[in-house]
Amino acid sequence: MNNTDVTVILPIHSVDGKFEEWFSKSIKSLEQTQVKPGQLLLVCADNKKIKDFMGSWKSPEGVKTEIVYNNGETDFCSQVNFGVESCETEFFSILEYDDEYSNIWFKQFNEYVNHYDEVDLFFPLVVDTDENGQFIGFTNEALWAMGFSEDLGYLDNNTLLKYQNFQISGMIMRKSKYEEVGGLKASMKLTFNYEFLLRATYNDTVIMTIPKVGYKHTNQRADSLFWDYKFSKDKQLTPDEAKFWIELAKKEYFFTKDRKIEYSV
Amino acid sequence: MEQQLSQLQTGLTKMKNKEAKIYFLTQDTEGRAIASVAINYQYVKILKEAGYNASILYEKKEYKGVSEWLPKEYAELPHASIETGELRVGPQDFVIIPELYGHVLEQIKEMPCTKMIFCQAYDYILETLQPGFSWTNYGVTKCITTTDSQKEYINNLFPSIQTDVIKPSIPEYFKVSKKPKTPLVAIHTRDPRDTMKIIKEFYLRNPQFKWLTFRDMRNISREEFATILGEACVGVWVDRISGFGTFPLEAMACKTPVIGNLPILKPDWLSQENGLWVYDESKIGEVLGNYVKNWLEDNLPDKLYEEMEKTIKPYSEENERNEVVTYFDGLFKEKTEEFNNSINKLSPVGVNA
Repeated sequence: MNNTDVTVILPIHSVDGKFEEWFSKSIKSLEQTQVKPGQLLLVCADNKKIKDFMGSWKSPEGVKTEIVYNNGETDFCSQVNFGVESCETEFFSILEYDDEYSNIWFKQFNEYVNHYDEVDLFFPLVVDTDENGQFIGFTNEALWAMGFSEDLGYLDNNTLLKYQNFQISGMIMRKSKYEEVGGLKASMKLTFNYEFLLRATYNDTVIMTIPKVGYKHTNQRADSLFWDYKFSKDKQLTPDEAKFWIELAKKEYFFTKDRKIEYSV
Repeated sequence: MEQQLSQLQTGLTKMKNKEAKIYFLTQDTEGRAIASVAINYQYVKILKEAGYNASILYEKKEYKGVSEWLPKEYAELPHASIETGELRVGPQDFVIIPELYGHVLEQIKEMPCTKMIFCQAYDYILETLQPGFSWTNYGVTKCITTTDSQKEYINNLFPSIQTDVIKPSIPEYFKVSKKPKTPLVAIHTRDPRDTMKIIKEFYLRNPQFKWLTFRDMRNISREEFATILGEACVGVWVDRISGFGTFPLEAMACKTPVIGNLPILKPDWLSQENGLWVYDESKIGEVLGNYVKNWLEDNLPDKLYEEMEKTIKPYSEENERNEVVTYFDGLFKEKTEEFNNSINKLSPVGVNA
């Protein structure tokens, strides 16, 4: 198979700063994949600056591309939810503009989905790098450590309650299951990722990590949202604050809908 | 003379009817899976199917057998014990002894049968032989071994012993797993200490791979062994004194690449391109780290898999069956001629005419 039944959702909230540099790398990684995704869906915030940028942007070779403008909330979660609603394939994947797919990711997905058709969500093995591309570590790999989770390779709710560090960017998920589970919750500002996985596993979503490098995640980028929470003098979270967001996720995952509780960060 | 003639004629009839006994002396593994013992069972099975009167022979009265780690049909093959006096042989019979059992040669020296050695591990040949003694001192005339390199070694030690090579097979249950391979390292070392050394060194050298699981392949049934090997992304093998090297071939049959140290006596099948071979086993942790990185990136050369497939081809069960049966057909033919010659010599001239 030369392509796969996956829509890649790439949310664009702003084109400021080093956006163009990162975005080019990200798109290039898509062009270099051995098996191409069915579609690339750029979910853009509906403003003039972004429209101007996209107007002059050349879409990638060999990948069917569509640009949609979202005039609602443009935080990451809302953009992804908007993208999933618009996609017409059985599966979707999230690509952040400063990250890259490995060239084997969709090829591996095709192989695994044939053998594991009960799985709803495939994690890639994520390579975390710093801004200069230096290797920091893996994410999603722990599921393959003997005794880590109930079944080797699979994520379950009990394991998640003890260990939070999983990455949903790059994952390939069945659209119908995402909708059934309720999508990402924008109000879970710092732990939307974690809360979503807790909710997904609580609702019998079968999750496994494909033990192949599928995604390169730029960690600790100086202008990223999470950088400030980790390192900025003014915005750095205290251990108690970090704990609060984790505990909040553990309470909220029982609710399918986002209850829109407003907590400031 | 008439009695001798009658014995020879009885023996000849037994040879012709394939009733002459073929005993394979076998170590009691006490429930542990050992490849060399599996081969003995395989030969007995092949010979039985070809109509020969072959049995497994063991020393003591108590014998645990192989039911825990070999398929049922092997455990049901005929068995005989030396201690209970079940070993009764005549000139037409064959007793085949593993190279490690030099001490048994002394016990059966006077028995009127053909004594042969089945040498699967050349390194054990001298272990139980008295200084200055050779197999020929115990009436051994023939030897079967598993590789040309071992044959050469044996010919140099015992030039008067006729040595032939029969290539063992890799059972068909060693096959490619239906599902994609998992990040599991199947490790098999002769010395158990090496297993732990390699695992610890690997984690120290490659902390980024500390989530990788190692599976020590000791003491598991053959079929489970094959399943795990099929699922593993790589096999690690350390056996400096290996005679044949069953583990790497089993891994290759499962399309699982092997990282191993080069044995002192290079196995016939080993080439630069069919595995990742090192001289020094302290390098295994480093090579394994590089291998895993490439495996995770799906970046292993096709050539490696092509060479593995080529390597494994001659070790089919069909080839082994043909080689074993051809060898014993030849042995029986040779012995029948010897019997005929002896009968001719003992018979009155008129009868010969």
